[in-house]
Amino acid sequence: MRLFFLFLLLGFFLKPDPVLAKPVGKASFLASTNAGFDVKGEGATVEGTEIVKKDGKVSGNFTVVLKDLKTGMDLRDSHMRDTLETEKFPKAVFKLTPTPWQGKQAIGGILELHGEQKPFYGSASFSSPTNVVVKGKVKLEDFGIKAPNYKLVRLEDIVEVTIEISGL
Amino acid sequence: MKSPVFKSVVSLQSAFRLLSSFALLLTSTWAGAFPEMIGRGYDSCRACHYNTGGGGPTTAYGKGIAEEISTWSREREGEAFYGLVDVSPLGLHGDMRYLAYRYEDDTVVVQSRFPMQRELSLSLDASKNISLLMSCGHYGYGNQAEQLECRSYAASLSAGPLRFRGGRFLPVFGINIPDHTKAIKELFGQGKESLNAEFSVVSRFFEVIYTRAYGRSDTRIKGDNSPSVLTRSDGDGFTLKTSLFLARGLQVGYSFAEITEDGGSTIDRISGYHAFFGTPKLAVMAEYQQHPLNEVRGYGMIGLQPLRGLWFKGEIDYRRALPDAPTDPEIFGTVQWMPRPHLEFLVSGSEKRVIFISHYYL
Repeated sequence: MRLFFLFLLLGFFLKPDPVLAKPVGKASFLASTNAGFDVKGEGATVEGTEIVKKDGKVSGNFTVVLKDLKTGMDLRDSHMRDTLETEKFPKAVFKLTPTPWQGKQAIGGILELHGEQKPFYGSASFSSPTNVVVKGKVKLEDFGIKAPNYKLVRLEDIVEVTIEISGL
Repeated sequence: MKSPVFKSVVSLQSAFRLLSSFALLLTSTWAGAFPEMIGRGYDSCRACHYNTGGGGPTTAYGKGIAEEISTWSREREGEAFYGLVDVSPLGLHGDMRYLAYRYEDDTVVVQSRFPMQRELSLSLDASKNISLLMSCGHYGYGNQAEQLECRSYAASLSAGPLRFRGGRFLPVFGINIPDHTKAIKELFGQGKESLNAEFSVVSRFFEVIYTRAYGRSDTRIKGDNSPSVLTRSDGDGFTLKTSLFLARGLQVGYSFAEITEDGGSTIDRISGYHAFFGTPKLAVMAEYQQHPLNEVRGYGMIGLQPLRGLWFKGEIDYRRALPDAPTDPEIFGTVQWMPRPHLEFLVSGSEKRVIFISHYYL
């Protein structure tokens, strides 16, 4: 009985790090071309793992399934998959460093894409402690990705990325 | 007695007809304006066409994606020579259209069929910023003799979003639908090409195209003695088209034109408003034009693409000559099918007319 109350007492003081349910979301990108139109890719599923919320900050890993991206045209989708080599590198992973989970924040972390790991900086808008939209820019060359050039139409090297996450 | 020079020209014309027909079998680019592509993220026609306002020869990129608008296609089938031969930086383009139609109302029945267009175009992408284009061919005018003309030619110089284009082509105004018999295309459709200097800027959010027109000149190849259907002094003035790209597949715009007509004795000032909404399977577009003397012209279209390359469209075409005159719109049901790259069939019917077009395009 004494042991029982001892464990109960320990439970009040020893609070484990709260690891929440797996958040999910969607990722998209917007890339400009030299031909007066943009290419938008949408629909990549995002899963969050190892999410930690502590001391008013959230951190964790967010995995983007690249093969889910769609640009609205089969030929463009095919070119996109070839450019990103999604057969070899099917996912991108963003490791978010601890960030306050309210309002608008500058964020940082490490982005793993196309087999390369580079620092990634952007912004996050928290509409609530569990919902956030992350935006940033990726320079394809930094990740060993050659910006596609199809029939004299060239994609710009810097791509805008947006990730919408809920359930943090 | 016909002169040796005339005989030579006739022989040249016959050779041209033969060559154009043969070349059309080998080469391919799509030469129809297709505003529906806005629904696939191509806000500006410049993405796929040499002509800033769309229509006519397509760029190498436009050829490359032609397979995306056809029901069946193989990889690179949409390219020139079906992708078998790479002739870049040159490009060979063209259109062969055959038209059959019947019109009937209370007083008259008219039916006809004729080759509407047999055109070859040659382009040169001298660099990523400079391109040249020339189009010549035979164009049917219904009951009038075919004309052998070089209708359009242009040189383009681009620098990022900016472009300057000079030559002879259609000034840009409103939505460039392929059917030049619709009321909104009467002033700016096929056969109304003029000598122009055009400046355009295209960004992610908007497009502005200014065309200074210097009149429509006779484009018949020398030696063609059939009566000219062109008046020399018309088509002088300018057009301005602006479009706002509000979201993917959604744009609105305003156009203005000041153009001389009627042998140069009239200056027409026309305002136009257009809107487009589309997805890969749905297209809705509309244009409204205000002409002098309170005449209005309008066009509306809603289209569905249940199968890639197969469109079912409802169209409305109207003109109201005077404020109190009846509008008398004509409503069309249209089926447009592109079974494979380079091939298009169109059937369109209203209460008064039926139109069939077969189109082999380069």
